[in-house]
Amino acid sequence: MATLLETRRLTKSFGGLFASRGVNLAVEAGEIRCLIGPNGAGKSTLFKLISGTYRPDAGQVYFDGVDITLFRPYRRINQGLSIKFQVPGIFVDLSVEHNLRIALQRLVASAQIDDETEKLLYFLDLAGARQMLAGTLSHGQQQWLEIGMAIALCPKLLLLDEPTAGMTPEETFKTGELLKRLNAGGMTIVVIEHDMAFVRQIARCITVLHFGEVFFEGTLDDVVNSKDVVRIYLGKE
Amino acid sequence: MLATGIGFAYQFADSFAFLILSSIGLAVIFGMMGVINLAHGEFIMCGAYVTVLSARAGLPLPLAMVLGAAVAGAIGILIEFLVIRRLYSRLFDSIVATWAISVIATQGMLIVVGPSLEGLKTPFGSFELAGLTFSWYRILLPVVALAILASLYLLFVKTPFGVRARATIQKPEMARALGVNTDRVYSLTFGLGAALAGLTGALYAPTMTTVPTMGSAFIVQAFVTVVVGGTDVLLGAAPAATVLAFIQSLLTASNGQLIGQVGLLLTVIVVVRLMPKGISGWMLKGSE
Amino acid sequence: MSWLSGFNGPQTLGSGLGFWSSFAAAVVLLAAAPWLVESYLVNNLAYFLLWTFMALGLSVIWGHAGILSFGQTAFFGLAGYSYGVISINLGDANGLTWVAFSGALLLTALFAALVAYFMFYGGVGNVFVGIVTLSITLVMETFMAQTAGPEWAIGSARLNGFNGMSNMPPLTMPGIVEGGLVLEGNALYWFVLALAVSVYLGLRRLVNSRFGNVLVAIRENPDRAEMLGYDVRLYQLAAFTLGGALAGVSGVLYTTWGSYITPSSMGLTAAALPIIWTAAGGRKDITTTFVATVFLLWLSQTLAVKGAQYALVLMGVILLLVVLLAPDGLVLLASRALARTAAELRRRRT
Repeated sequence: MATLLETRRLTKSFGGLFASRGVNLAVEAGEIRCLIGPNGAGKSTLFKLISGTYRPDAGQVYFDGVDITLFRPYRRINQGLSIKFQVPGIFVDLSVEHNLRIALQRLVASAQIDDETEKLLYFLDLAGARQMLAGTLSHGQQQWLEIGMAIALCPKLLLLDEPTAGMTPEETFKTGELLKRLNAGGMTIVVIEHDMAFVRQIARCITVLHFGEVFFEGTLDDVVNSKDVVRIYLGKE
Repeated sequence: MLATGIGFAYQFADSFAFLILSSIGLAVIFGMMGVINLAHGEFIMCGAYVTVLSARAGLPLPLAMVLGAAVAGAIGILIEFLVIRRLYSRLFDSIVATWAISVIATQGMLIVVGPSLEGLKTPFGSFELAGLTFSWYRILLPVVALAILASLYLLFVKTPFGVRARATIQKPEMARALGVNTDRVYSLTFGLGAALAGLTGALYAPTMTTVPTMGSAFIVQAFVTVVVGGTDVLLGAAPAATVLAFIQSLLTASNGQLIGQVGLLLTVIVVVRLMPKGISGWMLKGSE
Repeated sequence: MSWLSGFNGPQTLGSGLGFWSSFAAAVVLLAAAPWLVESYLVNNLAYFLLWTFMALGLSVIWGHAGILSFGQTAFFGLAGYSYGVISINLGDANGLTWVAFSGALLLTALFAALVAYFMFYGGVGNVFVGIVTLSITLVMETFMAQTAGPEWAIGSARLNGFNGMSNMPPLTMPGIVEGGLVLEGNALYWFVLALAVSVYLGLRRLVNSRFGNVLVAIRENPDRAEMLGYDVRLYQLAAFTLGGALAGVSGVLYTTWGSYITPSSMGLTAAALPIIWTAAGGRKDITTTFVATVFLLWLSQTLAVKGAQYALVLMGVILLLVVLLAPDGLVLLASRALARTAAELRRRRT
């Protein structure tokens, strides 16, 4: 399988504090990868380095064979990346429908955009709320709306930072099923998560980050059975 | 040669004082509260008018100046209560709102008081040196400017009010949780900024004609100094004024006053581009 | 009425039969004005209409793209003076005034693009856009004010400092009549009206298009807009240049209307006025901006009979009230109330 995303020795510090320390990550096309680790491990920083929001102090990012290290974020998106950050990134004062339309319009022709918006609204279970202002949706619905905007770009790689934060168990499960469907359709997905049930539902391969470095990689069973991983989560044994 | 040097030094000190005194009120409000008070010039005008009117009514000049500052401060507190307080969550709108207040104040004064008022004479007279004439009063002003800066430093760093004010500005919820009356802090800080502007107007009243639009003579200098000074008001004001006074004196000497003004504005544009956090921001970067 | 669909959309109010028939009626009425009212009123109407381009430009920059620029009057002044300089030097034979018109607009648009490039590609944040544009406006006014001496001339056009430049030739349409139709009086009025209607319709299409959607996205959440694959800086540059060019149109028309341009048209008070009109109308909608601009200009002029200060105090009060009580604009507030009443009445009827 081809490597879709690769980071080499990616390093980023903030005023002396190293958030990312030489991260080497490789994600194959067609994977669902989960990124876990204790708070402060540098997971969100890594996503921001991949999206281009942060410039690395050292290291490179490769996407689909292209060195995107110096690309501005919008260029990376145009290469086939899509990202949903932890902080909600929807257009709160615009309607749900308008949110999705703006996401779709770059890739969908005018003749089809009404249909595509309809399809996406139903796919996200938001058809009834289409005229509501996005800021008035429930937290779970806002997360879905944003996931919807992210997938509207038909990305090769989807990055999600804690997509199920604040969701009910039912919503979490639905999200997992949604991601599995997208992955079955060919989308590569990398998710940062804390919810282990969710991780078990969707992931085959897991990367554990700690103090800005890749600490461990393996299946969920490998991770759970590893004394080292348990130790970094619980402190000393 | 000596004459040019002395002339330049005088011009420099004069510009320096003008820049500091113009900007200090605006800087306190912007630095402490993030509010860009475009009515700043009108607080200066208020201080000047009160000073001139009370001095002409018989009050000794120093008292008239104190009164000018006090009235400006009181009006500042009123405006904070009526207008600014509602706009903390929308700082952009506070720029527009204070601009509106500025227009209302200038045009309102034109209607009520008319286009000009008989002013005061500059106290202390003048003296001659190296063939040039200098005003004692204008040599005093840089000293006063530095004294004000020093007092503000003491106020904000050494007094309980100052510490509470800085805490409130940085972390309002935390300050409130610790029992600080944040409404009062905002009110007093804005009032202080207004009073400082009023003091500037009072200090310069004997040197200028009192017209309702006199604020506009100060606003450009104030705005330029604050932007170049940067995020830490107290730290940035003096270095900014030094650099700008130098540029302005140089340009005024060679090309005239208006070109000096143009030079200041071009400096702002360059600084914003190269040092977005201003001189103080650049100075503080090393300590991160 | 699908041919209207490009003119309707999420960024503009009013899309049904009611709105468009009122619009058509208004245009017809305005076009017939020279036969309905006295000529000085027609001249005044032309004056009110020529400022609408400036306000519409600010609506695009501020209301749609979310960039508060204090620089509109700088572009206004630059275009006005450029027209003056070029037309005085070239003369008004054979439609050369159109060279002056286009030259002034081109210069202004280039300058706006340059400033935009400096700001947006330099990563200057939103507050600093305000600072930079305000500085530019003040530089222009200060600089032009000290051009009083005879050495300050470009070709045969003296800049004249505080007193301003005058005696520039009015726009002339070649052909039509012997020697060209001079655009004065009614002719100028119809020209400005036609231009205003065309620009209004053109902007309606633009803000409701994909381009307009992206501007609104940038206004609402610039990071998210970038993460949807848009080069935010490029869109900001385009919006700012367009706004500057429109301010330039107002500048040239003003200069040709009064045969006169001064540095005070770039001053601090002058810079506040388009902000007041746009804010009061509702900056996010071009129709409300247009209506508010014409109305407030008419109001100021009526009050200025008593004294210009009264008009300005009222403008200041209006702006303050709008900011505190109706930040989305008064006309917008009124139109929304109207729309709600209409919907309520419709509901009650069924």
